[in-house]
Amino acid sequence: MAPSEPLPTCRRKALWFGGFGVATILLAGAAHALHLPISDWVLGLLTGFGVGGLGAAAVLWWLPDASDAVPKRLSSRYRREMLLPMTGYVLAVFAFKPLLHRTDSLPLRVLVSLLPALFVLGVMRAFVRYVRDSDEMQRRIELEAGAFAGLLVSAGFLAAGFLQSADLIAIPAKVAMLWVFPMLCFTYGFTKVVIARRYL
Amino acid sequence: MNNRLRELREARGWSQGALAEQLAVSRQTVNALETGKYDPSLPLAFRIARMFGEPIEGIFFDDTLHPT
Repeated sequence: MAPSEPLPTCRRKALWFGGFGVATILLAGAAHALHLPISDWVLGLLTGFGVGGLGAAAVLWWLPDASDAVPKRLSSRYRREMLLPMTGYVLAVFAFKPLLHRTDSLPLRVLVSLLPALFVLGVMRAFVRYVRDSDEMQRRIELEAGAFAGLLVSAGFLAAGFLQSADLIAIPAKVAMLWVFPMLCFTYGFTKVVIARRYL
Repeated sequence: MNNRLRELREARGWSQGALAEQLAVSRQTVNALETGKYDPSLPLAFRIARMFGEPIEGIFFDDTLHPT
């Protein structure tokens, strides 16, 4: 039997993300089924990480290999610039609720509540620099993917808004607002796969 | 738009990766240019033309005028 070819880097990463996604979803499912003393917020977070991991795995599996699409220097810089705000964002998501309970000062509460969003600004900066320094075709792929993702997500939220107005669904405004940006990132991943594959 | 990019690159014995590096674009972009799936901007077309020492119209053709 001929030796099988090694998986490309992006597909190996996809397997890691997929494994992480399945593990966190199983963990959340087990905690729910066994009635473990875990808050709904943590369960939701675990499920969110799980779904995010599976989504990232699907995107990485179908995207053209990143080493073919982006110079190594640019992808290294992107990862480096993304690491700090992304880590800060994850820590802030975990910390902002407990921190809110520790203060009654309105300006401090506003600052603490906005902490995750401030880290997202750092993520956006890294992404903008990445897109601007990509070559013209890659920039076109990124911008088309972003535009289509924006259209799809806003149309989805518009449709949900009409369903909510008709009392057919009941999504709390807090949840709806928190999910706009993650949904945009998620949808962008999938629109990028479709658009990038047109140029293969 | 059709082009002679692959022919010119192969005549020089360059890989897609080597050409991509010289043009400061990705290998995927060179592949898309060669297969006609992506038409370059004017500045990139000029860079390609300069690299191969040919006029732009000697490399890129309007396929509605010169169907293959």
